[in-house]
Amino acid sequence: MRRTRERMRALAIVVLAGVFLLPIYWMVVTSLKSEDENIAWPPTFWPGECTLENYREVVSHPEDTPVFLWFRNSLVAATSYSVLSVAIALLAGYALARMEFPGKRLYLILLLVGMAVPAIVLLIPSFIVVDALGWTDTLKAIIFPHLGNTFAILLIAQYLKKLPRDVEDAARMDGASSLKILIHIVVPFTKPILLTLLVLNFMANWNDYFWPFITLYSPDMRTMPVGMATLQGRFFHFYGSMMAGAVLMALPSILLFILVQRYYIRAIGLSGALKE
Amino acid sequence: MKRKAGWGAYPYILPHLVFYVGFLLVPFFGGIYISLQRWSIFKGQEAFVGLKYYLRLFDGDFVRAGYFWKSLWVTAQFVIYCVPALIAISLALALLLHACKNKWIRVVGQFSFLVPTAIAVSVIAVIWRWILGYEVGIANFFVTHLGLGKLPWLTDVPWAWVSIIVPTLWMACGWNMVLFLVGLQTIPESLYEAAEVDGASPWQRFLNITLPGLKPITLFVVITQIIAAFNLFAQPQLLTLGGPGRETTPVMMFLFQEAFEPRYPRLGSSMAMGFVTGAIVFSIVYAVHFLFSRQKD
Repeated sequence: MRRTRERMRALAIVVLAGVFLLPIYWMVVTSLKSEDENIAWPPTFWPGECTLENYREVVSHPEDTPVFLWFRNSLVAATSYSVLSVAIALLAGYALARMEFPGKRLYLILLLVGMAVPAIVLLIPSFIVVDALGWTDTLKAIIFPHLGNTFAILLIAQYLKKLPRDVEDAARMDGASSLKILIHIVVPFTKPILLTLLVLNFMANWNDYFWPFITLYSPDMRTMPVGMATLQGRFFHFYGSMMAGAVLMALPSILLFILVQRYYIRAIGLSGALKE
Repeated sequence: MKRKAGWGAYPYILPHLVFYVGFLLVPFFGGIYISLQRWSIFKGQEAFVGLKYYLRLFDGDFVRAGYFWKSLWVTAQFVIYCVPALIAISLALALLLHACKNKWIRVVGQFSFLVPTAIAVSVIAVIWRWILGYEVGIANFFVTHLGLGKLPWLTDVPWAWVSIIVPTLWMACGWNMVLFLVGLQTIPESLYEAAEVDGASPWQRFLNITLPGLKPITLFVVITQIIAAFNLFAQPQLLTLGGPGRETTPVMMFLFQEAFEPRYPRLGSSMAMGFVTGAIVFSIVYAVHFLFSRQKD
C-alpha cells in the first residue's frame, strides 16, 4: 500500500516534470525546423530536417535585432547592478546591526516604508527623474534606480544580529577599524547570504521587462527581455526565427540557473524570510 | 558591545541613502506633485490643474475614466483567477516533492518546475504566443484531436484569459513551490507521528497539521502574488495585445498608454491613476493581512 503510493507519487512528478518542460522542448524543436515545416498542418513533433537557418536569420540583422549586443547589455547591467546592490546593502546593513547613530530610528522607518510603497506609483516619476538626469536610453537607467531598494539591507542586518560578535570585538580591541572588520571578518562570515542576494538581484535585473521597456528605446541599447519583444515585431509570422531568438534569449538564463541552482533555491527561500 | 559610532556610521549608509532619496522619496513626492499638473514627456510641466485628474476619474461621462476602471477590473479578475490557482498548484507540487523519498526524482521535479522561473517574462510570452496561435499552434492541434474546432486562444474571451493565465502559472509556480517546501520543512515530523498514533487519517493530518503550519508562508505568498499580479503587463502586451477590445488590458498597460501616448502623453493624469491604484493595492494587502491574522483559532 505504502509502496504503491510512493510509486504513484514518483510517476506523478515525472509526468508533471514532462509537462513543464514541454513548452521548452517545443521552442527548441520549432527553432530547428524550416519555416515551411513550421506552418504545415498537422505539426510535426520532430524536425523532418534539422536546420540552423533560423538562427542565421536572427543573428544576421544587426541593424534592428543586434542579439549579441543585447546579450552584452544584459550582462553588463545585471552584473553591475547585482554587485553594487549587494555592496551597498552590506554597508548599510552592517551600520544598522553594529552601530548606533543619530537618526537610526528614522532610517529604520524609512527602510520599512520603502518596502510598503507599491511599485506602480514610482514608475512614472522615476522615469522623469532618470530622464532629467539624461540617463534614458543608457544602461545607467537600469543599473542605478533600484539601488534604493531596502529589502536586502533589512535582511543583512537581521542576519548580522544573529551572528556572535566576539571575533569582531577582539579585532576592535586590537585597534582594527570598522571598515577593516567589515572586510576581513564580517564578509567571510556572511558569504552565503551575500552570494544568495547576488544571485537573486542578478536574476531580477536580467529578467526585468517593464522598466527597461520604457527607459531604453534604441535597438543597440536594449536588454535581452526587451529585445525579445523587438524580435517578435521583426519576425512576426516567422515562427522558426522567433523561436530561434527565444532559444538564444532563454539559453543563458537556463545555463545560469543550472550553474547557481543551489543559491537560486536558497534565494527564493530567503525572499520569504522577512515575513513578519 | 555596540559601538557608539555617532556620525561615523553615515559613510556606511550614505551610498544607499543617496539612491533611496533619489529614486524613492523624490519620485514618491514628485509623483504627488506631477499628478496635480498637466505634464508631457516632450514639454515637461505645462499647467497646474489641481485635483482635476483625480476628480474626473469619478465623472461617469469621462471616457478614459471608464477605461481606467475597466483596466482595474481586468487586473482584479486576473488576481481572482490567477492567485488561487497559483497557490493550489504550487502547494500540490510542494506536497508531492516533499513526500517523495526518491532523491533523483525529487531533483528532476524541482529542476523542471523551476526552469521557467529563470526565463524572462517576454520570452515566455513569445513562446506561448506560438503555442496558442490559431492557425498552426500546437494547442489547437490537441484541441482538434479532442474533436473540437480550433479555439481563438489569443483573440476572444474567455480564451484570452487562459492565454494569459496558463503562461503565468507556468512561470510562477516553481517559485512559490519552493516557498511552500521551505514552509513544509519547518513543520516538526513528531506532530505527524503523534497524529498517526492517534489514528488520524492522511486527510485529517493535512487539515490539522500541514495547513495550519503553512499559514505564515501562505500569507506571504498571497500578498506577494497579489502585488505581482497588479504589475501584470508583459503577458497581455505580447500575447493578447490587451484584446479583444479592452477585455485583457490591465491597469499597468492602460497607465503606460496614458503616460506615453505618442500624440498626447499625459504623465500627470497617468500618475493620478497610479496613486489611486496604489491606494487600492495597499488597502487590499492590508485587508488580507488583517483577515489572516484575525482567524487565529
